[in-house]
Amino acid sequence: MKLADFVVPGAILPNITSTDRNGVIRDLVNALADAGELAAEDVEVIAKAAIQRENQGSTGFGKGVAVPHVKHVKIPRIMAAIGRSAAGVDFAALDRSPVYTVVMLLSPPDQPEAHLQAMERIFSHLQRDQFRRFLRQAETVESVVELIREADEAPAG
Amino acid sequence: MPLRRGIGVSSGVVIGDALVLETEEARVPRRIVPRDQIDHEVSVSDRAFESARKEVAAEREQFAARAGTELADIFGFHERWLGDVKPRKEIASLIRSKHYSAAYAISVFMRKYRRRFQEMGSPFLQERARDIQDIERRLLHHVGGETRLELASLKDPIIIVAHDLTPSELVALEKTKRLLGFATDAGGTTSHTAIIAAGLGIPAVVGLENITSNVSSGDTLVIDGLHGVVVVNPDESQRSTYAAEAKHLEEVRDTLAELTELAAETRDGVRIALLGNIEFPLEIDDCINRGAEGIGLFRTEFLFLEADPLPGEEEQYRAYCDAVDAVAGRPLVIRTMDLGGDKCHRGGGWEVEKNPFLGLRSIRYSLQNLSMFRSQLRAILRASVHGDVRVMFPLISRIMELRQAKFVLSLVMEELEEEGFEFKSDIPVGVMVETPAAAICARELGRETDFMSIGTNDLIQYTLAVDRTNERVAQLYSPADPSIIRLIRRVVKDADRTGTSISLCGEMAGDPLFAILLVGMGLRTLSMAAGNIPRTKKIIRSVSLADAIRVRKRVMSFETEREVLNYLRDETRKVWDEI
Repeated sequence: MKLADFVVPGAILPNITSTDRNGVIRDLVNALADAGELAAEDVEVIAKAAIQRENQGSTGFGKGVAVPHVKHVKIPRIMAAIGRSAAGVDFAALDRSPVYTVVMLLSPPDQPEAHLQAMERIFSHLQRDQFRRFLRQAETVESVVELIREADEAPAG
Repeated sequence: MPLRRGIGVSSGVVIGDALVLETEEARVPRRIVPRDQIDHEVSVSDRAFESARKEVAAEREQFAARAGTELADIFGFHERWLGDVKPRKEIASLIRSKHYSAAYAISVFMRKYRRRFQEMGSPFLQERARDIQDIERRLLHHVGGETRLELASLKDPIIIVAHDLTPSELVALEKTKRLLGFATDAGGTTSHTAIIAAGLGIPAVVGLENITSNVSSGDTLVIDGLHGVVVVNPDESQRSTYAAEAKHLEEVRDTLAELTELAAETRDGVRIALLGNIEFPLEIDDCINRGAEGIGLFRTEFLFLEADPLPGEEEQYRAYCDAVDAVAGRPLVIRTMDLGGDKCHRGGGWEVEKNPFLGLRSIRYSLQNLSMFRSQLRAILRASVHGDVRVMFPLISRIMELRQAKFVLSLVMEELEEEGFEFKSDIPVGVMVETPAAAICARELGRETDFMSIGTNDLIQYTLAVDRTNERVAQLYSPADPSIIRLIRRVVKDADRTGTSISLCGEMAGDPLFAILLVGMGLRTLSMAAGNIPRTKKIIRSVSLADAIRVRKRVMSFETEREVLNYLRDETRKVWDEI
């Protein structure tokens, strides 16, 4: 599975302005709706589910990255949005550092294996210092898309 | 009087008369049948498949009743293969296109099929080739093309000598209650026949290469399964030596049995936890009967090796629950799938690798085959609510792999929670330290795990760059090599610094020569095959921690494996002269 299979280019937000966790999650879900991947009326219920999931345990696994994710019946296919915050957002991360890069994965509940595969891909790439650094520095949608393309070509082990 | 060395696969000494089985390649004559007989030959072949399949199914059930379903599953492959339509079709087309007799068509097809496995080179697949041979014999028996030894007619206790024994032949022989032991040209410690022999407690020596040409039926044989020695026609003095040895072994067993209820504790009261290593849940009782305080290594490969398709979550869950039941509240460390190298399951898209031991195996395979890994972790987590289950990742060579594996574990937990399954969310997570990389970075690994277990078999192989199954270099493989001793010492110290519990679960743990040293190096948990527990306990109970530390200090000063071994032998003999 490649990142490009599920990252929605129209839902890449290189300059997120929300300063709190819930705001960032809402921005990303909205971006997926704006890109035509989700119905506008489902945005709130999906965002709430993602926030609820985050409340159960932070997906900020350290080093400035968080990977919020949620499964919901209103999600038609596996999709991901990427947000970048120059100022950093408090995600209650494991290492207590602010989060600069958020990769959010949404999955339908009936595809647990594909969800796991996609999460593992995201995690593996984000574990690489260089990918993480470049993603944090990418200021345009194009540069993020390019970075994903490069990452897919040299898959992380 | 000649003494022949092979591989002892099941300890015990036995003396008896040899019966040499003529098991050589079935010589089936090339027979062409008239056109009007072709349909008949096809139906003969089909019927042979059907009766052979029923026969295997019946044997499997009988065997399962005595030895448990896991061991019996070794026959599952035979049964599934015989039930498959593809081989039948190919044989029928041989009969129709070439006018072969059923027997000849079967033998042509099977030989070609077997060769495919043999040529693949891995010991596991060669083992499969033996299973194929077993199936061929059965089929030929049912078409009347070859007569098998009428095993049921055996009258006197005998020692079987054969080129090779298939698992079903061994089981059939054992059923006669006349089998004292066996010796074969072929085979190794990992062969199914060897595993079954060990499970049934039948003294056996395999891998003798040419024992069949050196023994005739009626010769007297000594089988020394402990040392892997066969003596042909022992003279009077050898005979009495081995008879005494057999008696002595029995006495030692009795002495050691008295220790079962006592703790493994040094003379000055340092407790050492002795745990068992198992392959099948049914081995747990044996471990506990011999004094194991739990299971330190449950290898899960057997669930995968025989399965095609791969075992589902439910099947695994049942196996893990069986194990949890059997340990009855004691700790149970389940190691995730450790296939690859020389062991591959069928299907699964294994590619032939130039260096399988340095290739896609173990945790690396799991992380690249997430759906398999996921179902295993789900099964382990679901079983975790029923007892003290711990999960261990094998062959970790970098911290990234550990983090990835833990991440997948956390995702699987989320899934189970969403689905309403119960599981132990704080299940202890550990790693095997079996690569030099992991040993050198043990401190980092220790910070992110609840426990670590040193797997010496792989650690020695990778550290010394020796394949111990390659007889040309096998003598270089040694747990006593100073590099290994120092590496282990370092890992134990690093684990202590991070407060992670540390154990050792390779074969070295069960080797009595190393017991004192391992205690002196700071290990307080050793996990080993059930059979090694009593004598390890005996040695531990005979030394003090001060002795053990003195031994460790001395050993750390040696430069060669030889010095280490000689010294350890002397020190061990001082406390227990049965070594």
